[in-house]
This record gives sequence, C-alpha cells and structure tokens, in this order.
Amino acid sequence: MEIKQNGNTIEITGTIKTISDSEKIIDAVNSIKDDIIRIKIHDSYVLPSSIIGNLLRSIDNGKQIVLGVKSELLEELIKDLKLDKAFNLYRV
Amino acid sequence: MKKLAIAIVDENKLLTIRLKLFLIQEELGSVKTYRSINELLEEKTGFDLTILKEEIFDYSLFEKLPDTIFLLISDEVKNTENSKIFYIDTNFTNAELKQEISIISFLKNYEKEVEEKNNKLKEALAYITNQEEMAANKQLNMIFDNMSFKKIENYYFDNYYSPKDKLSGDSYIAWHIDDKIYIVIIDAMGKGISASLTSTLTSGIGNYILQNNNSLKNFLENYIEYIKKILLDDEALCMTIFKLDLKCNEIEIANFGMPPIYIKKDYEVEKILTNNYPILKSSKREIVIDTYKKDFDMILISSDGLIESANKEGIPYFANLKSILPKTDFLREIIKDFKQNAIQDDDTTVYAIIKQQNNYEIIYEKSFFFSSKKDLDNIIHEIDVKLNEDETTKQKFYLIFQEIFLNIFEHAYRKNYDKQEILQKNQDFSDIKGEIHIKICKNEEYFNIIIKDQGRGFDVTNILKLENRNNFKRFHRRGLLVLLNIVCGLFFEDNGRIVHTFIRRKNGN
Repeated sequence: MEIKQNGNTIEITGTIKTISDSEKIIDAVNSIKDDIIRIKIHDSYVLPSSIIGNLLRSIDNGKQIVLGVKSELLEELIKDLKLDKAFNLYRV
Repeated sequence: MKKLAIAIVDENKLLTIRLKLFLIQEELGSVKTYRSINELLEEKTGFDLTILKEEIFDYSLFEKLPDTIFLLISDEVKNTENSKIFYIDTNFTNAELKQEISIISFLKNYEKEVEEKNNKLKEALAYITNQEEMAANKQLNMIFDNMSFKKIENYYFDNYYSPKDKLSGDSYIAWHIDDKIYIVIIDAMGKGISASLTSTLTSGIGNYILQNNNSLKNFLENYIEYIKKILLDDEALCMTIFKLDLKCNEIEIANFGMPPIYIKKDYEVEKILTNNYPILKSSKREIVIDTYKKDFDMILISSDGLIESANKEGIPYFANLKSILPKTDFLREIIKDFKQNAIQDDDTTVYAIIKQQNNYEIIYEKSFFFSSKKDLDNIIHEIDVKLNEDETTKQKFYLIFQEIFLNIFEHAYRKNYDKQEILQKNQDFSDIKGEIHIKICKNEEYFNIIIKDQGRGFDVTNILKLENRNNFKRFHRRGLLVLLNIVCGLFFEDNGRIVHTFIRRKNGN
C-alpha cells in the first residue's frame, strides 16, 4: 500500500492489508490541519473499521471528510453502513 | 388583534412626523423612526412592518429583515403577488394608510398564529418521534435471543430483524436451553403501536413461559391462552413456533398462519406449510404440532415481510427466494439479494439454522504467539503468501484478519483498551502475550476462516441486535458490522473466543 499526501488530500493506492497500513492512513488523516480532508482510495475494495472510526471521530472534531473511491464494492460497503452522506462519498 | 411593531425609514422628517403621529393616534402599533436603512439594520430589532420610500428599498432587504413586511411609498402603486411588499401612493390619505395597515396587521397576526401552530405541531411531532424511538429501543431490549451469531454444537444461527418503520409488528424469541432450540416468530396484524405492543408483549410472556415449560404442547397451551386475552375482537396474530432437539434432531412445528418453513438439503428445498389458523380472540381449535426427523443443510423461518415484499415489477420476493435458496448455505447471501431486489414493505424477520458441513478441507492451520502489532501483521503476511486467490477474495481475508486481530487486542487481553489507542504509534504492548490459532478450510463454494484466541472472551448475546438500526456512529462494534457486509456468515463460539467467518469463493457458484 502507498500513501501520497498533498496538502489536505490523501491518495491511497494498493491494498490496505495490515494493521500497520491502517495505522499509516490514520496518521495521515490526523496530520491534516485543514477543515476539509480529501481521501481518494484507488485500489482497495474494503475499508477497516478502525479507519472508519477515525474518520467519524474527525467529523465529530469539526472536520469535513470527502471520500472518493474507485471500487464499486467499496462504494456499496460505505452506502450499506449509511455513511455515504457523512463521508461525502463519490466515485473516482 | 396584536399591535404591530413598525419602523419608519425616511430622511424627510415631515413625512416621518406625519406618519408617526397618525399611527400613534390611531393606536395602530408601536413606532420607531430611522434616518436610513443602515441605521435600521444596525439596530437589529425585529419589526412587523417597515415603511419606506420605494427608491431606498432593494430586494436584499428580504434576506436582511426576513420577518418584516415592507410598505413602499411610491409615485406608482403597483400590483404585486409578493405578500411581503405593499404599495401606497406618495400622496396617500390617512384613510388609505389605515386600510393598508389593517390588511398588513391582519396578515401578520395570521402569520403569527400559523407559526405558533406550526411550532406546537413540531413539538408534538418531536415528542412522538422521541417516544417512538424509545419504544423501539425497548422493543429491541425485549427480544430474547441467546443464539444469533453463535455456533452451538454443529449448528450456526443467524437472523435478520428489520422493522419497516421504527416500531415493529414483528417480534421473535430465539432461545437455547437444555439442548433444545426454540424459535418463535410473531407477526401481529397491522402496523404501528398497537401491533408492536401485541407482538412485544407476546414475545415477552412467551419467553417467560418457554423457560418454565419443556413440553412444546404445555408451552403453547399456556401461551395461546395468554395471547387470546390481550387480543382485541377484530385482531389476529400469526406466529411460528419451532423447536429443535439438538440431541436427537427432532423438529416440532406449530405454524399459525405464517409463511412456510423452508428446509434445504443438497440443493433441494422442501416447504412445510402452516398447520394452524391465525390466533383470534375467539379461537377454540385444537393446537396442531407436527413432528419431523429431517436431515437438513439450512432451515429458514420467516415472517411474511420476506416473501411478500415485491420487486420493482411487483413480483413478490418469494420468486427470488425459490431460486436463490438452493444455491446458498447462508442467510446473509439471501438478505443481500433481498435488499438488492425487493422493496421491503412490511416488518421482516428471518431466522436461519445452518448445519455445519463436513465437506470442508483444511488448507491452512497454525498457532501464533504475539506481543505486538507487528507480530499480527506478520501473521497476515505469512498467510497472504499461501493464498492463491483473486484480489477481491484476498482483500476480504485481510479485512477479516484486521478486524478480528484488533478485536482480540481490544477485548481479549486488556481492559478498557480503545481501538484508536491501539493504532497510535509507540504504544507499549509488552504486557500482552497472546496466542492466536488460525484455521482456514474450504469446500467448493466457501472459505471458512476460524480464529481462536486464549483471551477473556465476551458476552456474545445481543451484540448485534441493533445491526439494522441507523446507529452505526454510536455502535461500539463497528468492526463486526463492517465484517457482516463482506462475509456470508459470522458466528461466535466459546464466549467469543472462537470466531467462524465464511466467504464465498470466486470460483464457487
């Protein structure tokens, strides 16, 4: 898995395979000071609950999450969890 | 009629004085005067009516002073459909002014009355919504289920409970006691508070009687006598009572006007039809209990919400169920198809008993000791090398491992340990010395991943009762909900220390 961070935008390519991968994403999210955090997930079909929990916590702390996903399966997962509006979900 | 709060904006003192004197003499309202719009805006006082010359009015004032009506003094009296603007001729007479203000006063009072009524209505609706939410939560608390998401002996138990609205006319009992499994699904006629009250009360008392009666006949006689007492004259209650004796595989069924029970074995599906009429206050018929000894792969018991909800073409989901049931071993796959293809138009309750299959071969089995997150990551890497599967299947494996490993960290070995804390860098886990046993099996259609830890375990009962509620944010077991979205089955054994997950193989049917 690779994370590219540019300003308030995080791009994730490859598979979120391990706990360390989730940890890296959480660290990247937490490092953004802007009010809007943009995340693009290119290859992963799944999103671990630890990352979802961290994004919800960021929203509680006044941040706005804008989540772009390439995978239809991941889009479905987020919608099934009824988080599409909270994460301003869109397809990349 | 309530008097108006009036603002006059005009640089011409003569006009202001004339207006003010007249309005006060006629007792048409309290009056304040301003030399300019800016002066008025600075004061930020709410006025019912603002009188000003047309040339100093602009439409942005609607936004800045949303509660006021504007009476514009103009050389040309215009007709307007905008109820926020009135015109009066520059050379108005006192009678004309009085008439305009009377109309505006009537309008403002009417507006206030409507607003007050709206506020009262909103308060009443908020109260009802809050009461409904509380009642729905209580209804969930009163569901007695100590089997769902569990593996008990050679059986897996799964359920789907989805009220159409907040309160449900459906309720159920799923109770494992003394080697016996009792499943009762209740569908009270109608919807709303009355139906939910009937179904909840009957499930509550049913559970009480159930725990004090080993004989299904005794249970039913007591139970139905109670139900008849609480039914109104024109009410009916449908329900299925199902008992499975785990020692001898004997099944007893009393079905009172509910959909058939589906029994699947080797890709064939048999239907066991209702054997009693719905229960009425006046019911006097003998209770029929049928007994079977059947081998099965899956038994599906449901309320009519599952089979009668139709797709966009109006075809009941029953048609889909007939085709999907022979092809699946798990309730989650049916529910996924139901959600995709049917529009739920009734409360829906489904219970599945799934028999453990013996055709799984072990493809991987190993115990690991761990004392750090890195150790857990290494387990994932090691298994990953051995998985010769497509990317989607592999990602499901990774997610299962991540969620369950973190849960083990969170719950099994330390108290009050937060998942976000676990994921923080430089955390010291030196006090954790755990052991995880992993077994991966497969048959032609599914992988079965079994993860066992040596931790404290946890109370599995009711952990996922709220899975269908829109409360993900408040839900503490998000990991399980995420898992439920990608697996066909998720079951716990040995107080949560053993987790069984099933995922469909890509090359499976």
